[in-house]
Amino acid sequence: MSRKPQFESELDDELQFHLELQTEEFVRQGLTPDDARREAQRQFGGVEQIKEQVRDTRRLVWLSDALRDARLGIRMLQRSPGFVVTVALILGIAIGLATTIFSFVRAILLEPLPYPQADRLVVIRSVNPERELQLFGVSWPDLQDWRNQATSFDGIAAFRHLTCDLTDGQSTQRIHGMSTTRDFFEVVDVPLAFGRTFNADEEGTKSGKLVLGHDLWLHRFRGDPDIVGRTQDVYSWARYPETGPFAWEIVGIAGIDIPFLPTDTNVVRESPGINERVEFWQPPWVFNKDDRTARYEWTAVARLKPGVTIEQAASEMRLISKRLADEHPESNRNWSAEVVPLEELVTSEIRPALWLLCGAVGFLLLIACANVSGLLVVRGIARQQELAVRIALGAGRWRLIRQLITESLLLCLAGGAAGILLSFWSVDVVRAFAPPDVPRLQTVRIDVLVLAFALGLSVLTGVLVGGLPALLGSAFDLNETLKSGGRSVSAAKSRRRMMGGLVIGEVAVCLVLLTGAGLLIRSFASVLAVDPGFRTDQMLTMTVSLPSAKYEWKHNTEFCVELVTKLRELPGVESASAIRGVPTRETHFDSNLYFADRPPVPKHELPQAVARVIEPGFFETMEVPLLEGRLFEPADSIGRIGYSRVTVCNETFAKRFFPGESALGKRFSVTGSDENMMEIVGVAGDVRFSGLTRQPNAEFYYPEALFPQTEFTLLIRTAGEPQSLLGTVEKLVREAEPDVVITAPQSMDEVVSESLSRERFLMLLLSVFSLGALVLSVTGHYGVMVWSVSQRRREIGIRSALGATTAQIVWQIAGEGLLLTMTGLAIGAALSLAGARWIESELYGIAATDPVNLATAVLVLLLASLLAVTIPAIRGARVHPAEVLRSE
Amino acid sequence: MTSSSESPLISMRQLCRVFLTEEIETYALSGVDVELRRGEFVSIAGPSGCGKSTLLSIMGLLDSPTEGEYFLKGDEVGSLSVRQRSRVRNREIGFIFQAFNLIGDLTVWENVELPLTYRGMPAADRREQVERALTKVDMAHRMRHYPAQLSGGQQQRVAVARALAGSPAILLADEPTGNLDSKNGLAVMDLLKELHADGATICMVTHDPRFAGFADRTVHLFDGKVVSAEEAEQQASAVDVPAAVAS
Repeated sequence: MSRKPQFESELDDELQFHLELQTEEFVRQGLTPDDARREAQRQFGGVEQIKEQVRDTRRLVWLSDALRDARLGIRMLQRSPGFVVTVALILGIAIGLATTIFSFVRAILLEPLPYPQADRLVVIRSVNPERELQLFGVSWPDLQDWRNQATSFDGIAAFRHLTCDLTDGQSTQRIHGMSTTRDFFEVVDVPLAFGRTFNADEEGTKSGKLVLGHDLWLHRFRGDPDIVGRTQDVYSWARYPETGPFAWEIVGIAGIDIPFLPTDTNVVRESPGINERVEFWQPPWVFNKDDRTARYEWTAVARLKPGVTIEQAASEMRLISKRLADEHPESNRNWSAEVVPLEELVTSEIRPALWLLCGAVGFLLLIACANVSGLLVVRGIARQQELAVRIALGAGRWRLIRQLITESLLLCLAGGAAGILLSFWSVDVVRAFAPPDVPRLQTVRIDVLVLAFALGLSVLTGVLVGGLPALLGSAFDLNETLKSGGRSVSAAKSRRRMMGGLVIGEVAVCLVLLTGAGLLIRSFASVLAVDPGFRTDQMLTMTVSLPSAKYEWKHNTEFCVELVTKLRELPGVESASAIRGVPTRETHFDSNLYFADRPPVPKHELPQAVARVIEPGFFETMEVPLLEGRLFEPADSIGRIGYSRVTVCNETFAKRFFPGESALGKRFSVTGSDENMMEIVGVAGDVRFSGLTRQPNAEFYYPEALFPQTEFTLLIRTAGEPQSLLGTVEKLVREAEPDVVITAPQSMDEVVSESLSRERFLMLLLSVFSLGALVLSVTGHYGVMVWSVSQRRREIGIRSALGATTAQIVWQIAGEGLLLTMTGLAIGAALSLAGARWIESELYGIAATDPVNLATAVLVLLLASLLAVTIPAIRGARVHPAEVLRSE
Repeated sequence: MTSSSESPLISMRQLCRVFLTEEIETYALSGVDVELRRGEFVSIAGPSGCGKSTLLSIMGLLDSPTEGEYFLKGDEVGSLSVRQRSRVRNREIGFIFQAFNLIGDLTVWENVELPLTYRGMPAADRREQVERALTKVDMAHRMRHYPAQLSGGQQQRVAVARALAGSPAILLADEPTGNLDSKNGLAVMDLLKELHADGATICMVTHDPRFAGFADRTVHLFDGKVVSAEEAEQQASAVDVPAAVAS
């Protein structure tokens, strides 16, 4: 049953009343009741029109009231510019930081991926719950079975990352792209601007076809549509073991640019970052058409059919995996498939950190709100007499509340405006500190939606900070207030309670932030204290890439050896070497291990380790200690390409596979063939290739001469500042090979520092937030104490008159303030412990519930609070009792 | 009740109190000599601004004289440190204010107990003293009430109990009936008279001649100086005559 709004009922009653009055008048003039009513209705006019006029007037009244409130509010605020600036600063910082973090959350987590209907895109990956493995990849034969059997998807495409080098005979250009199945364009929905994608007969062969990325086409080929059908000279691994430039046919041009998809399947070179654009596509060429254990080769991306849920697709993929495990137990036992939304995969690394920052900035905003609320309460006291007069003149309580909230809204909008200005600057600052691998980092900006968020947040803040003070400020005993000149005893008690509550809340929230920041700082310190396994200072590094398959293997090795030899002769260079990959940020692939003299094990149970390819002098240059045996000797580098007779393993390898005995003299191969057996001749110290926060892998080393590389990282130990040799080294490298691509020339200290960018980013931001929270919380507490002391001058005077010493009064006042602090600390400690799991994943070397950390945060806050309560207490205790009591 | 052979409880000699405001020196008290003996009930009378409250503040060690000497129980207390003054105030002086000055957040019991806690008195002793003081002023039945729940007269009785609780050497009452109606005012004066009869030394500031009569003697102040009763009367009548008529 619908009820008429009160206003409409009142309007009906009012009109009816007027109609009846007019009817009675006509009856008195001698008309019959019926005629009188008719005449009254005629004269009265249309009831609905009158109602509409009244409604319009009412709307106008509301609007004019709001405008009057706003005008009055502005006038009131103009009288206190200091107050306005203080509030705008406090809220501006909090709203500005909240807007900044929101702009990151929005661009990285909330914005859909740049593909049509990206919410239906998923990655299907291989998982082995028993061995706790989650691989991006899938083997080619498994992929074919998935494609044939799965019904949940519109299509399952596969890709892996690839690089090649465009050449015009004079110069080369390194480009990053993908080797993809031909249905990739349909599954991911990449439209073509011109030409075609790949034909069925081109898939799985080294057909030499290219689809160009849109941006590459625009810039390298000046947007010429006639390029389709022409050939382009390319250095590529697709034709290996052939070398030299190949003429590849450009068959199509992509209509849009898409970023790289997350994966760890790539060929030969490092994966490009997921913020980089795909510059070309090639048809897939397959190394292991029949090997189901080659799960590192392809990444499967699929599009869910409309109406199919992730759970349904995942369930189907588990069934298919089980079937494959039954059919191929040797390779597929214990392996299953997992369906992960692409969106989740892209943001999985940064998501917890961003939500953590959201929580932190939310807490900071709460503290700022509490501070401003406190200021508004104090301001309300000064205005109580004025408000009492307003009520005495007929203003209703809600009218006053509306006026007060309008003022706080104006204040918060001023804060919001300051915050928006701040965020334009702070977005750039935060981005500069953000880890470079954060997806869509460059798309973070302040746009209309972010501005709308800031505006909404300002309005919400206005209601939040103004609501309670308005309720308190408008609730008082009118008579008492008017008589006492604005000092209502009962209202003062409510205010004191509210101020106490605000302090408790601020302290509690501040402790949570301090605890979090403390954990991250100590975690970062733990990471910095980790021994990387080598000396990082005075070392210059750069990654050198020869054009793909431009030269024979032998040339590559000779190039590398000659380059390292020349580097060693440079003045200022103490030693030099090279390695495939970059220490502390290396991705790697595990090799299966077949140990000699051990019973054979099924392939899926084979132990694994990481193979490293190094130039002579690696251990000496890096200063990695030799623990047992010997290092490589020149004779070890002589032999057949792809085969090594000896190896040096690391300490983890030795301990894991030969516990309690020496690894020296032990033999193993990575292929299972006896002729590939290697003997362990030395055990070196562990090097944290995968990053300081990750445990060292079991690893073994190959000499580069037997495993030639076209891409390697130079390691140059310098006598002085590494950067001073940068120009000389680059010149030397380019003289040796003009087409070489040099990436990431930097000192090893910088490499290590960059590998910690995520930890540093989170630690810095949370530290800034918690410092801000500490300052706001302590100043807020100080302000409340100053206010409280000013309210208690008479009481202090009485106590002093009764013989209380200064120390006793200080203790009395400060003790009450500290009681609030202690209550806040107790609540904050409970909140910190309860929320520990939210930060756990970001920590290294310290437990989220670490008692020392919590105690330190408590101590910091306690000491800061001690200052905040003691200073006003001491100043308050110095009141002259005779003066106070006389003035009262 | 008084004995001339005893040394005075309070002795003030050539006491001056000067207030400095924007290069103007205002003499609130100028060369005041006052003595109070144990067991005396003295009232200090005079028109508004004559220095009555200033004298009482100095007597209660709430303020310090600019010049002169102040002996309490034979000890010079005019130049004590802040801490020493608090101690003397707590042990030797009981205050009764015109505005009662009870602490609103404390109960009647806690208000009366307050000076004893500053003295560091054990809880059992405090209980005994507070009960005795409240019984004396007939307010024991209101011990759990808050000041706001009491009438003005009752509040002033609690204030008297608080002043009495620590058994001070002297009770200083600053216009104790100023905020009360005549009936309650009279009741408070009866209470003070009763206390005096029991041996309490009282010094009371009042401008109400009816209540000044309750004291053994009256010290008249005029323009910061002690004057005789006759001089006070002459000055008062001179002031009472409108200027136009006088000329």
